[in-house]
Amino acid sequence: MVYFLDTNVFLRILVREDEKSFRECKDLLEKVKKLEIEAVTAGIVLTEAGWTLGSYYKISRAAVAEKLEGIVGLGGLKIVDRYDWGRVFKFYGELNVKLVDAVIAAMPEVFKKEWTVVSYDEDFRKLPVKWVKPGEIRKLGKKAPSDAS
Amino acid sequence: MELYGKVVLEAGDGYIKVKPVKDILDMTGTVNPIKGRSALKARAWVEKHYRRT
Repeated sequence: MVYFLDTNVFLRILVREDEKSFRECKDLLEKVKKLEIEAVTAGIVLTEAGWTLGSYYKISRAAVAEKLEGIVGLGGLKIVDRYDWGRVFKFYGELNVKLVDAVIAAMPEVFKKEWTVVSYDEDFRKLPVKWVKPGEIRKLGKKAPSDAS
Repeated sequence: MELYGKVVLEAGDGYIKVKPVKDILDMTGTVNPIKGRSALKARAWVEKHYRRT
């Protein structure tokens, strides 16, 4: 199983606001780094994390750049950018979801349910994707040998 | 350098420098939370208020 990590997984690590979600996301990223689970994210997620850190948390550009570099620098994490824009517009136009969520749901591997989205965002309920919250992965433990492909 | 951490290779004159890359796990809790505003709402807030300047 491949997991697609959404923006709030990274934000929860950087902004230690809620101890439970901080711990869940930290455990998850440690597993990614140790190659115990396979994870990807996308440029659109980095962009959204950058907007949020700069405009909502008001941190400097240099600090935003440093945090984004830290995401890309995480061992085991792949950055994949493949979008089906036709599907994005359909989801965004027909469902009451955020644009970035529609973009993620329209990625071919996410849409085909080969990848599972990991997010706290309940909007993924409205989209035709496989979705789990970070704490649910924790229960799955180490990668099974059959997942090695 | 640490096990499973990424590194950057820098080619010099007759040598290669290997430098560890700082990752997000080295930056935990480095952004101050905003009192009274949930981080879970941050993304929705940004979507509503985003402007190119």
